[in-house]
Amino acid sequence: MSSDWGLKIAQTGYDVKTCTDNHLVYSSEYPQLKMHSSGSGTYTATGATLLGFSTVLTTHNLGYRPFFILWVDIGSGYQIVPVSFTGGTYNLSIFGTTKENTLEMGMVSLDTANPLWEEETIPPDDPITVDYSWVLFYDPAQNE
Amino acid sequence: MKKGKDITSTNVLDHVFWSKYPSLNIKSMGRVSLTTTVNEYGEPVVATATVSHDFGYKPQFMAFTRSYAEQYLSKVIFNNMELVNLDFDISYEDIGQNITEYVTAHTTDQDIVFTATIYGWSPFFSGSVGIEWTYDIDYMLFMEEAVPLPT
Repeated sequence: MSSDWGLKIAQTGYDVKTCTDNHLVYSSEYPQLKMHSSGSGTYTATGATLLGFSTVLTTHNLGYRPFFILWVDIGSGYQIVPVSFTGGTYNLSIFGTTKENTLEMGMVSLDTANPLWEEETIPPDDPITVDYSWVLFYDPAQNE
Repeated sequence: MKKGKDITSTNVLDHVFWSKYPSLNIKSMGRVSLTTTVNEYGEPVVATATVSHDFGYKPQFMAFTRSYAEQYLSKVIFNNMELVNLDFDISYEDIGQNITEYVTAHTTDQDIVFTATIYGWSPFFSGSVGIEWTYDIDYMLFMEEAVPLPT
């Protein structure tokens, strides 16, 4: 029995036996991303130090760092993170990070007006509000 | 089908797999190390690493790395950048200077190419001061091509 067996599905108009991989819609030779969970919400940052902070989006307890995709809406529709933008006198960068038991969203800032290394705070009357949406997969993000 | 859904459903969200709609197949994974350097003036030099995949087309991909901030800066504030996805473009305040990091990736028909730059800057010194640092980048190449899907 040949060891070259499996399942392939080709795109419309292509011969599954001869076409290249980019014209397949499925090949059992390669694993697929397997969705673990998803979610969305709104995060409002105010009063806290503007230098950097983070929030836990979900606790997955997988014990390894899983693949994820995170989008945020800072007023112009959902963008995939990391994203950076300017708000007032500061540049703000939003990133997602995958940990062994949690998926987290973090922000760091750089104030362009104030002297360096000051502790800055978000103006109480001008909070930063971010709508977010995420998808987490069982597949690990690291090649280990 | 999802539990409780009928196979005849025309709602794609009722299906866990439908060959009419391609899903991402992981064709290969790998890790590459990329070390940033400085030139004779102490300025940053962009580090580049090229990994051959030889797919013959530009695949979709995703890549992750650890930020310099996670390794070195205040653990109180920055310890959350443990494994972030590319393209990573971020600036932040450090003790004594501001730090900017860029870590990017793109694919060609034959390769996936990574670049990294990291430097500090401050009003108290002119220009940017490069930082030597090694980024370990984990990447995932998908079977699917990075082009619009056929209709």
